[in-house]
Amino acid sequence: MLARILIVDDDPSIGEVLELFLRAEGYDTRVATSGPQALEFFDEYQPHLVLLDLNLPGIDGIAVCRSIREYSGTPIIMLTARTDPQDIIHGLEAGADDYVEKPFNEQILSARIRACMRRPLPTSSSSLGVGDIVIDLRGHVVSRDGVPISLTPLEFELLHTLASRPTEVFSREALLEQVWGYQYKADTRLVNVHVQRLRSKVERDVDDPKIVLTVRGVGYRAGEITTA
Amino acid sequence: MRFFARIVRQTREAWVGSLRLRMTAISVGLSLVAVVAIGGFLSYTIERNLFESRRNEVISETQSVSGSVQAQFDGAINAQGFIDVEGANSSAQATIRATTNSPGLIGFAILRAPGQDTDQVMTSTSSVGFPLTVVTDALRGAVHDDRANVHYQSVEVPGESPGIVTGTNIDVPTAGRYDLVLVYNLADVAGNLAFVQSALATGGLFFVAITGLIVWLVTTRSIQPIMTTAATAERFADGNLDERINVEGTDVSAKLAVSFNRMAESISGQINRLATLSTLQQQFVSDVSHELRTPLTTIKLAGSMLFKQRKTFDKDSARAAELLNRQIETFDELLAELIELSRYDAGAAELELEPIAPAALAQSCIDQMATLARAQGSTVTLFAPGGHKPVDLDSRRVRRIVNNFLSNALDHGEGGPIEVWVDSTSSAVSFAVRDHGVGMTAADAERVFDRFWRADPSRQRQSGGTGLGLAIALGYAKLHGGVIDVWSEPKSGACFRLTIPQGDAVDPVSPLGLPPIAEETDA
Repeated sequence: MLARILIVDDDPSIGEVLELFLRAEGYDTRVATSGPQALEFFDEYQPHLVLLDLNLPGIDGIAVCRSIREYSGTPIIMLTARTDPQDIIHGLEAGADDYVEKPFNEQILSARIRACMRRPLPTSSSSLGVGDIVIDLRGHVVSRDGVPISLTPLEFELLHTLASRPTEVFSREALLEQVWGYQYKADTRLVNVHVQRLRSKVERDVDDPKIVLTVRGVGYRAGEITTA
Repeated sequence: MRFFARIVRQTREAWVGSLRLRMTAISVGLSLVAVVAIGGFLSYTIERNLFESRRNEVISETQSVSGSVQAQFDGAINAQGFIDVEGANSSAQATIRATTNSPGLIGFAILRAPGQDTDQVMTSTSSVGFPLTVVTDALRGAVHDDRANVHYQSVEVPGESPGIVTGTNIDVPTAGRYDLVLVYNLADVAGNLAFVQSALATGGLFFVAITGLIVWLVTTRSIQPIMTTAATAERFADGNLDERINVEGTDVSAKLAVSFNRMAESISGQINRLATLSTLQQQFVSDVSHELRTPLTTIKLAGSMLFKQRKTFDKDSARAAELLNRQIETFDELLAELIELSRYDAGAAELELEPIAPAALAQSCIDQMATLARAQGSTVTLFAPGGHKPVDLDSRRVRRIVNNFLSNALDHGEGGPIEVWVDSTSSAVSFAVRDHGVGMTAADAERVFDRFWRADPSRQRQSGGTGLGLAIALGYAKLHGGVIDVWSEPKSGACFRLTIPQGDAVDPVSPLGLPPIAEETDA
């Protein structure tokens, strides 16, 4: 079965050429050209990944992203022609996993797609404990006191990566490389925004994090590991 | 000494800094000179008048006394032609006492003129307490030389007050010539004079003080419009282009205000027009760049798909696909840089600071360029005498600058060694990239930051540079409050150095030389 990608862009030629390109890369695709259509196709088509243009008629891309995130962790890559850094931040905060700026390089796009698709990772051990939460690696579930916490695959992998080597401090660049599959791409906002989103879900007090700790000037590391 | 120097400095500053103070000081000085001159003249004239009238009084009294005394002696000769000189002397003294009424007579004396040989001698006499010392030989000589007139001399009488001595000749029958000497104290005249002088001085001082006050007030009033204008101009210069002066009346200060307002109006009009033009232009560049992105996205994807399948095309179509793909890349790069630059021009670029070690940043730039460096045959070496501690930088933009330096160095370094330098102090962090390639002339070095300028037009396409790289680098440096300095010599290579101030430092000295020399920091 081919992996399904939903392409959302109001420019039909971009939609078409993306479809051509992604089919050649071995994906199954469908194109939506508006916000409402994107939500409709998402339910109907059940894609494995969404390529989402931010500039959409009807409902804009950020709203679409937020709606999808309300019930699904499906990886979302924003396609953005906007250059206001604030737009990218808004998109990431709305739950997008990653972004590519138009006009993008097709190799970069396929690398981003592959990186998002490769989750979830196969794992050896069964579970990890960080602070007072438990990461069940087989079931892909994170829970506190037996109550599951809903994480997107990206957030799960971010937490897993930090927890897998608890004594190590990960620089933002290292996380970009390991979690997002980037090389030498130094947009560390990606890491900052997703760490914030992750914290808002797993921390009891976001201002006093115990699970994902900041090491000033270096990066992040996991909190105290408890063997579960 | 230091205190004194401070006083001098403060005075000089006040003098240079306050028009009002200067005006007041000058007018006080000048009126003081005038008052001293006028007062001195008045005082001198009054003094002369007072003393002259008193002298005349004294002289006329002496004349009348001497007349009476001479008559006394002449009348003392009896029928036989004899004279009782001592008796006559006594009556003469009585006459003197009776006829002098001028104030201030201290005493009198009838002194025998020296150098005479006469039938009889009358004893020289003087009144009680007569100050014999004030009678000089000069006076007595004058009396001797001119017997007809009264002679006088100004002296200081006991008690240290000014006085006057008069002398005249008396001929005593049979006893020869005698000098009648009278001494007067002029203390009362001196007292009057002192009073007049002190009144003059007091009046003069009041005059000077009032002049100073008047000038101070007048200057204050008349520089008020200037001060208002200066303050308004200051605010105008600070960018408040709407600042204007309230115009009151029609005098010269109102004219100043009107002229200033017209100038301000004209300047702000010009500035607004230019700003609008510039904004429109920037907006246009920005809009065009953004509008180009969407079609370019499609073109790029389609082009690269064609490029990938070129093996299945005939020879000419395959070549066309190659050319298409390569030029799309150039177009893409150019567009990306135009967008970066227009974002900076629009002032929309904001720093995203995060702590990062400059040396680590430089190392990762070198790693990123490793493939290109190998292709060019250059070895890139990092020298980091400092910069190992994290500082707040916009790492994406600093990386962009250093990468630009590096790719320029690789482009123009002719395969020679390239040095990347990093150092920091408490006031600045600096990155420098040095190559040993073709270098540039000083004239070229001045133009490297110009948009679309290329050092050597014949080489421009080798690395596909857009000609915007250094312009963007300079923009990003300025965004950090930093500067980029260039050193270059033809055939010796070039060095680009970025210096970013740390903390509140303004225009800090770069920790690196230009170009940095290895020996400097080896120790």
